[in-house]
Amino acid sequence: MSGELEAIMTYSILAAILFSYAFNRISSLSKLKRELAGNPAEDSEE
Amino acid sequence: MANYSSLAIPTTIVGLIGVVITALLGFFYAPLVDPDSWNAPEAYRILYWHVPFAWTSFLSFCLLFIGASSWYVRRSERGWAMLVIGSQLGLLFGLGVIISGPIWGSAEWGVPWDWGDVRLNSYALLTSVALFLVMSIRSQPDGEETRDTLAAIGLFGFVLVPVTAIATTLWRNRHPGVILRESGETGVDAEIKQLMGFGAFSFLVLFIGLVLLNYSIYSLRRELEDENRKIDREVIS
Repeated sequence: MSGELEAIMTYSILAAILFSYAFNRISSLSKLKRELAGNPAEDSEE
Repeated sequence: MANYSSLAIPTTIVGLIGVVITALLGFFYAPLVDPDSWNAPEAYRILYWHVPFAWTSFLSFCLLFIGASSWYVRRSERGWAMLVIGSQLGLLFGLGVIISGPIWGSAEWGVPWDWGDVRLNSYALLTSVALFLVMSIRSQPDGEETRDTLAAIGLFGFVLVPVTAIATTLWRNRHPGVILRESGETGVDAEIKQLMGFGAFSFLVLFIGLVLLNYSIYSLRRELEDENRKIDREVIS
């Protein structure tokens, strides 16, 4: 048992955690920017 | 603010590319360690992420400490933001260490955890403090009292950082010593050290990107709340 499977398993789990967190933050930032940019337009419509 | 925000996404993406390159080099370029000295020579490749994850978690806990101190001393909003970001990133990177360590440990040592090892246990406690802070920040109503309590917990938790950092040298039981320091005991190849250094740099870039990203989100949320409050006031009046 050389541990290759353990290494692949660990990288997969950590990559999933790291990437999901990073992309979640990126999408939150983009959403907030859109929301802030959209506010004045909504106000003028009202 | 606009500067932070415009740098946040590119820095995070560069960091992510760097950590992926580290993993690929760890698998396909890094030399194999001596199979006579290691029980699971291939599993050692986990360390190319495990070690930078641990270093980055210490950076996150430092950010948490600076934020908590700044909140106490100056009631600084930016300090509170640093505490929130430090606890989130401390949990993220701490979780990575807590997951990867036992997998490597069970392959190399035959056991995933050693309850007698000070470093393992103090590190687990440190990550638990980060978990507690993240959950409390999300669940408790925001106010001065809540912030004071959580900042106090953050400050006490930080005491575990130097304890964990020096535990390897002082009370080493099962966890290996400091890898990048020159020693005949670790016997680490120069190529392995270089790759570990590249990994540390990539994780540092990722850490900076995530801090900028979280700070931008925090600032924009406050801006949005202020805007909404202004609209509410206008509607009422």
